[in-house]
Amino acid sequence: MTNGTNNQVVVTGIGCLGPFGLGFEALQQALATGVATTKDIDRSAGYHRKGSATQVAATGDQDLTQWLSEDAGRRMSQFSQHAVTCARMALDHAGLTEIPSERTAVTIATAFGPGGFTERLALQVLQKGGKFASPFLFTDCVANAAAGQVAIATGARGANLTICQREAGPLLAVAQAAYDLRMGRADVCLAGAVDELQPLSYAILDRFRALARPSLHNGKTEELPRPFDAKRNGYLAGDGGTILVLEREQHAIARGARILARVGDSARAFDPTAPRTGHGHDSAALATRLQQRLGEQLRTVDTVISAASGARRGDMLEAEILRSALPELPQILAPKSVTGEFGGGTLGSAMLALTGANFGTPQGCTQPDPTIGIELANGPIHARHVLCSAHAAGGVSSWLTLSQP
Amino acid sequence: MTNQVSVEQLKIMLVDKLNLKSITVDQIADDNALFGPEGLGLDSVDALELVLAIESEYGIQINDEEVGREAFASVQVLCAFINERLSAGDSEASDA
Amino acid sequence: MNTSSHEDPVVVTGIGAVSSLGATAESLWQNVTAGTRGINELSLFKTESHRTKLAAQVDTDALPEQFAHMSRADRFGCTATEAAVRNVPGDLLQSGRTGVFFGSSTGALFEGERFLHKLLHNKEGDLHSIVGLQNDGPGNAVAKQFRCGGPAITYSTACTSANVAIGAALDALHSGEVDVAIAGGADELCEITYAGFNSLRAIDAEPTRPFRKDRKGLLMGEGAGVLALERRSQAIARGATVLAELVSAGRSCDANHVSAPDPEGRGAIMAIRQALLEGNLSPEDITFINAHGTGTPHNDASESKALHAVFGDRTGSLPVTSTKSMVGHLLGAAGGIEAVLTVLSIHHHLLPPTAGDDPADAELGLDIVLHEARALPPINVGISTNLAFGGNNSVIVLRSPQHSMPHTLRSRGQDAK
Repeated sequence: MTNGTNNQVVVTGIGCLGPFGLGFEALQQALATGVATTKDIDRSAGYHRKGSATQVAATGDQDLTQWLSEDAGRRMSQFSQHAVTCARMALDHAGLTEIPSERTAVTIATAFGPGGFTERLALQVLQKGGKFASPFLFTDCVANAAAGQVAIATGARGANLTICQREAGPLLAVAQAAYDLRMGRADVCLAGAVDELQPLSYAILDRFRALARPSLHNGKTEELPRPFDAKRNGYLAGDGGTILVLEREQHAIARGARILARVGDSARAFDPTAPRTGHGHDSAALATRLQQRLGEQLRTVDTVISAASGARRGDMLEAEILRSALPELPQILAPKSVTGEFGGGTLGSAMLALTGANFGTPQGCTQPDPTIGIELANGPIHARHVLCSAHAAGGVSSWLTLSQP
Repeated sequence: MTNQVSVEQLKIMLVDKLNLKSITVDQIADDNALFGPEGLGLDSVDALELVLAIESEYGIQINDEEVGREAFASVQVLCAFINERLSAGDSEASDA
Repeated sequence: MNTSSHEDPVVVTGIGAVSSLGATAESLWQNVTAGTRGINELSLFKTESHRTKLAAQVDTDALPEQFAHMSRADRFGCTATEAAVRNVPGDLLQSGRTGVFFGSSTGALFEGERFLHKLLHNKEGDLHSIVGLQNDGPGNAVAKQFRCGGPAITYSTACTSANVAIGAALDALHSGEVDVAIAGGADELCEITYAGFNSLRAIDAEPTRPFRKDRKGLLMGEGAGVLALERRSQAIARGATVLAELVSAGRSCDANHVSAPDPEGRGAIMAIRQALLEGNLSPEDITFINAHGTGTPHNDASESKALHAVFGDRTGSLPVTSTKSMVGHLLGAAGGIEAVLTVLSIHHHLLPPTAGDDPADAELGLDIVLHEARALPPINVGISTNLAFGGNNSVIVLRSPQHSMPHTLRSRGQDAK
């Protein structure tokens, strides 16, 4: 199993796509503006209620042909296509032209799985009958379709895991991958998050009051996610994918890889006071449990890539936990207002903070909530030790630390 | 004899239902093998999708794997297979 | 070589199961050891528009009322968990040191289908019915119901989900992250998965016959299987009953095809070997296999190849059974219910038969337990395999408690029953 005593896990590559387009640079440009690229929700199916959210940070159709030929992707859900694209971008970024097949694992988180294929299959079955279910759609409608397709596309034959834990998924996936690497089960892991949302997904999220809705401000109708802001009324849903190449440090050094970041400790906990589709109130217990796992590494955190997304209760929970754990708050960023919730935007943003990037003030965050009292950082950010946080609706909380190499 | 299917229609269905991207209707020869090493690079899931399409479009069921394998030898063979079944259906109807 | 086992191994101190064979693990065990199938015509939804009619559906009337307000999968998960943690003190469960490691591939998909059906007819469905819609539904329901503050995580890897979750629980216990782990899975029948497997012609219209020559497909099932796990030192200190030891886990991916297994079983071979390696075990140590055994032509064939590759000449005399023949394929929960059955097999030294009248497919060259439950030696090391869509494979190894003797000593013990 493990040779030598070096238990370190490093990040050597990243591939991402989202409403901002394809690639790390595209993400950086988007974050620098502080403005999310959004699309109108397609309401033609009649799922949506009056007054519901109209905007989403949807990735939509992008030209993936540089990474995935149309032919190879012909039977894939958009979910899988995006996963394979991100995986290939990440491996290319890492300079890994050949992976050690049996020693390469894949760990992907998703909140919803392939939304489009699942909905289409459901419609076939409900409207036409069970006999009309398409084998195409079924084979690629499972939550682990992305991870499976990534394995087939890259030849990765190690553990193939798919984690479903909503907003907390991306951090849990990286933590899981780092654990497996430290245990010596693999030398390389493709870890991250992919999501594909469809009009039906948005309609359901909206019914649970999760999304930022149009509201009147000074005579103007606005619909914006406003992390930590007094006027916040929900998050901006989005999708896309982020995949990191994680490696055992020895493996990266041996092949002369450029190391982008070091994966530190992680923490996870559950809040039983959380309603099934919302955030709870036991920030004290959560903070205690999360801190216990991180120990020393918490002291060196200089930047937080926050879970804050504009969720009314969720942002408050995040603030309470951060204040409890880090009485002297370091600089705090809330990039999900640009990347949208889902798709792993937190991971990409963390990597940008560590490699040096510009973070614009999130649009619409003009009035920090006085009961929270957090003003988001902006401008050039060059973090040494990042804390990423996530609080999933339903009660799971997760932390992950990343540092400069 | 009423509804009969043309090879052209079948080729369009193939490209459409199997979401073929690098193969156009014109590039599929009538006697082109569909499966196997000489074929269009289709697999068992494609075969099942095709079976579903034929069932949905023409009401013809292919429940036996063996029957399916033979019928899918080429577009030409498939066409003949479908038309034979359609005629049989017609003649049953006219007897009634 | 079996040198030393882990200093403080992880043990099973409780089990729970909900299936077509009853609301409890006891009922399940009674039925499977008698070779009784839990198979009926589906009544959950109309089958006229589907290709087949049979399933292993849970009789929810037989379940305790307590969780009746939940979605089916949530209810199965909570019911099974309640049984599993019955003897775990409440303050330990709620200490913040208990984690929930669950597998699910459906979440509340059946309720989701009803909700969508209403939407399509311009009606509003009941939002409460779909709070557990996503795959983390059952795991979250359990964590909330039992007030667990430790990690809660759901793996959704199709048919390996619960097996993967159990492996993750093992890690969390060994690392000291938790003191108790609730591990397993829950899934529910729904039209999408039923129609989906039928679209692949993977469901047998007749009762499933795993490892038989004429096998035609699987039996869809639903339910939950849950283990309560803790480190042995804690179990002994609090006087808990130890049913079995959870030794190790192994995972891999075929990287071959989205829905068909690698014909040579390469991924399964890797997963089994990884599990043996992590458990400091060799193939000779294994005394039985609870196979994935879905009854599809492809799975049973490739799984057999994998077993031959790992166990060599021993394979023909290593008892193998498919409990899916009776309880059905619980998809995301299969690993959970099969782990429960593996624990019971170890505890009772008895391996349930693979239901069906026909002889086993001789070409597979396996020793399939047929017709009657097979007596096992007093000390056992059993493997539970799960092989899934996307080619991912997951294997766990369980063994008799307090027995980590080297193979040679143990084989002497086997002669004395």
